[in-house]
Amino acid sequence: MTDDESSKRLEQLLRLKRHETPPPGYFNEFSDGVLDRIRALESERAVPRWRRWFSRGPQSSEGSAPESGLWPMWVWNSALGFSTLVAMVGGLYWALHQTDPEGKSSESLLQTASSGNPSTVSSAASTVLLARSMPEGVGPRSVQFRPVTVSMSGSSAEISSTNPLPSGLFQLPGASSGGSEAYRVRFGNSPR
Amino acid sequence: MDPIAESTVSARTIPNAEEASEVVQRVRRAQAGDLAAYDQLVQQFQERIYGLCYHMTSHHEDAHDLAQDTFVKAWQALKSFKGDSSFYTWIYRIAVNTCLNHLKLRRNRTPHLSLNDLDVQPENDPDLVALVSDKTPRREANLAELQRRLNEAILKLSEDHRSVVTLHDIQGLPHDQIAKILGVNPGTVRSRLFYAHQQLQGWLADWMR
Repeated sequence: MTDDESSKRLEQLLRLKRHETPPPGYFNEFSDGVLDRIRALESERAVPRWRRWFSRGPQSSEGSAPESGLWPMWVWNSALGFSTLVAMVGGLYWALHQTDPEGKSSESLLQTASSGNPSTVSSAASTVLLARSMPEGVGPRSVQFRPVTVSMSGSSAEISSTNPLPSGLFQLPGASSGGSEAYRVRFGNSPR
Repeated sequence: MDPIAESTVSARTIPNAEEASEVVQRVRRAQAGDLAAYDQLVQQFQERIYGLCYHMTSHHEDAHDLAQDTFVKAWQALKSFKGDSSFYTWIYRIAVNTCLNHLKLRRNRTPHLSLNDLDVQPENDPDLVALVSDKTPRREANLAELQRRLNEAILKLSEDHRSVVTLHDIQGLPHDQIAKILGVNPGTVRSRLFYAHQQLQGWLADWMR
């Protein structure tokens, strides 16, 4: 067979491919499918990005996710709210059940601190957390926790305490380091 | 391909002047956001685009998804279509690129054929009579075997070679149109066709006699 004949024969063979056609009626709904996808994209684009992020559910390649690929909004909002609640309760529990090196739990420190004035509860809890983050050597052993008072007045705030300042950690103006004198720190624009 | 056959197939594939002007109007309306106009464009080109995707993949379901992807991508990019080339060339280019990306992702997988039935009456097609009538009386089985061998051979071609064979030998596009679609010069198209034909002739030697 010459090259020319061979080439013609190949063209005949390849032309058979033109007879491979999808089943009758296949194209009747093809364009509807395209338009549905376009409409879905357009409506998705109209939703703000942050909301799209929250409304998009886990999509698996096996298609086990809901048909639309989206979970209902309330499911994600509830899950987010529940997770936040668990994190807050867990964090509070952790803070209250820590034990200091002398075996005193934060709870008892908190009770001691808050025995005088109920308004000092939150500041005492902060003090406990601060004490745990102190560097070695200036740790909670040398700190006797006393109530910290925070008073707000207009745009200024005043913090007063008789807690000793660990030496070398920081120095407040007018406060002696390592002593146990009362000190006050003022924030804001109020005149001295 | 002989000139008469080529012109017949091309006439079926490339829009004529009247059709082209209709396409331009529809494209303008679609660019202004008219989805009904775009629906008409989809209907006008769906068979050709599906055919391209099918012959590139030899897989009916993949071809369906790829053809739909092509039209969705084209809609998203429609505003950027300036009309430098014809809409038909532009959408073909999107379809070819969509198919090539798909094939690249699937390169390491064993190709799986999902072929459409042969919608063929050999008695009405002299080419087919020549191909199968003198081989065996079991014409249907013979045709199915030929179809499978043909598709396997096409899938063995590189993606570049497969593109030109699909566009030229199966879809009947002329060299210069293929060059525009693929963004290469017509000489490259001819050269790719030549090498693709050589390989196919080798793989289909049983059917070349």
